Amino acid sequence: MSRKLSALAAAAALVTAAVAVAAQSAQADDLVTHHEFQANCSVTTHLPDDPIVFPGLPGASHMHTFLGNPSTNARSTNDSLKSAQTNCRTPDDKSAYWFPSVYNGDQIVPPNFPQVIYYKSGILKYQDVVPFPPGLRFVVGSATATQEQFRTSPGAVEGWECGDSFHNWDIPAYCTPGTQLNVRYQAPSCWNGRDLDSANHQSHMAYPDRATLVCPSSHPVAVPMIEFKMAFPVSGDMSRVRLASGRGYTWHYDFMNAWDAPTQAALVRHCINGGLQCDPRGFDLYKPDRGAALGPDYRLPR
Amino acid sequence: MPWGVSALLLLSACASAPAAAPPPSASPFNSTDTAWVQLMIPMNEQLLPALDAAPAELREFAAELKASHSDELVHLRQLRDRAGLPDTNPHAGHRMPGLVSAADLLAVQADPASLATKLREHLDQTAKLARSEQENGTDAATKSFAASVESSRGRQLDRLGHG
Repeated sequence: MSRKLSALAAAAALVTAAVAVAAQSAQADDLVTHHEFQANCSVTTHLPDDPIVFPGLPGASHMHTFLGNPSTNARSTNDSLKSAQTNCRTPDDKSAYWFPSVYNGDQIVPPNFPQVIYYKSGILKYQDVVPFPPGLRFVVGSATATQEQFRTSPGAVEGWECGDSFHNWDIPAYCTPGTQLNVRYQAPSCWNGRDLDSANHQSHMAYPDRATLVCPSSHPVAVPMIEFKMAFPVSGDMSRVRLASGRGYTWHYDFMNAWDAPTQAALVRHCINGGLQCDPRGFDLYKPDRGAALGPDYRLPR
Repeated sequence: MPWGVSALLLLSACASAPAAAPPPSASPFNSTDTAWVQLMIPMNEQLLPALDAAPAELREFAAELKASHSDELVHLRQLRDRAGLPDTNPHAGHRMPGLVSAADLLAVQADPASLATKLREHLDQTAKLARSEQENGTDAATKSFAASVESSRGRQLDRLGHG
């Protein structure tokens, strides 16, 4: 867990403890340690497309690996995504997720099982997080980042990892055979409340203040903090492993929100505002008494 | 919770007006126009040094291409300036179809016979991009330049096909 998250969890626990003492009603297992749910989505395809940065221009991007909604391509819009399907475990999440393809030499290395995309609280007052507005889109990180920018980014968690090797700010030169190459990276979670996109596809979003974990007044609306946790089946000699955008520190990813709004709202309310560690059904294995946000089919009861 | 309430109001206000933000409203360039211009510049620029490595049978064609690609670059840089775009390369170091990367250039220099394949990929891809720009761009001058690039690529591909 990053220092930032440890601080968040500890502070949140303190808040909860104080509330519990004041209310004299909470039980020990109400201690809040998480405020999150997961999207679990698999690879759909690889395309040199980017509907946010190069809309309408297929082939205009470095190679991307796409997850979730198989219709995603250079011409995708919010409407086209909403009317398509998804391989995400939660079927009413039609969002588009993508990142620069990982290559080993000339071969793309696709993740080989459903990948975890966390939706967390990036702010201390996790009760205040509201769902993403329909059609919101943004780019996280930078395809032109320097190693120093990647290392010091507020989105950085543990850099690249494999086996027992953590905090690598480029892809490690060697990974114990049989391990997977992992990366975790957090998105900005404060929205300016006005724009669904911006010229650089980033400035309508901001990270919370690192010390106080409060959204800046320019970006006052706290939305879920997305955290990509991707795993790539490549190990041993890593000298030919790179991203389609260049070195490991050019890691970035893109998100176009195309959730069914009531479904996302139910997950945000139950899991993030409710302080739970939920699976893609909005169920916390450690707090089964709290129930699930969605039904057995991972959908809102209709 | 006034916070949550105001956020909800904002959300409902925005839900009905999803604006695809990018360029300033006065600009005739949409995101497709700017993306096309910013991609075509490195596409053409990075091909030029590979043309210098042409094997004997391609040398004449490579020299013609070098001249016509350089002419296109003059136009493209004018479009870039008119769109108010910086002269930075958003595709530096990237791996993508039709773009001659540093590694591709080394490969062509080591094996000049591989230029024809790389050239065909570049001409094909830039023809497709020019078609998409005409379909999805908005700036009239950019679209009409894309039309001329597309027809040049057709002729160039014919030429390459005939050796």
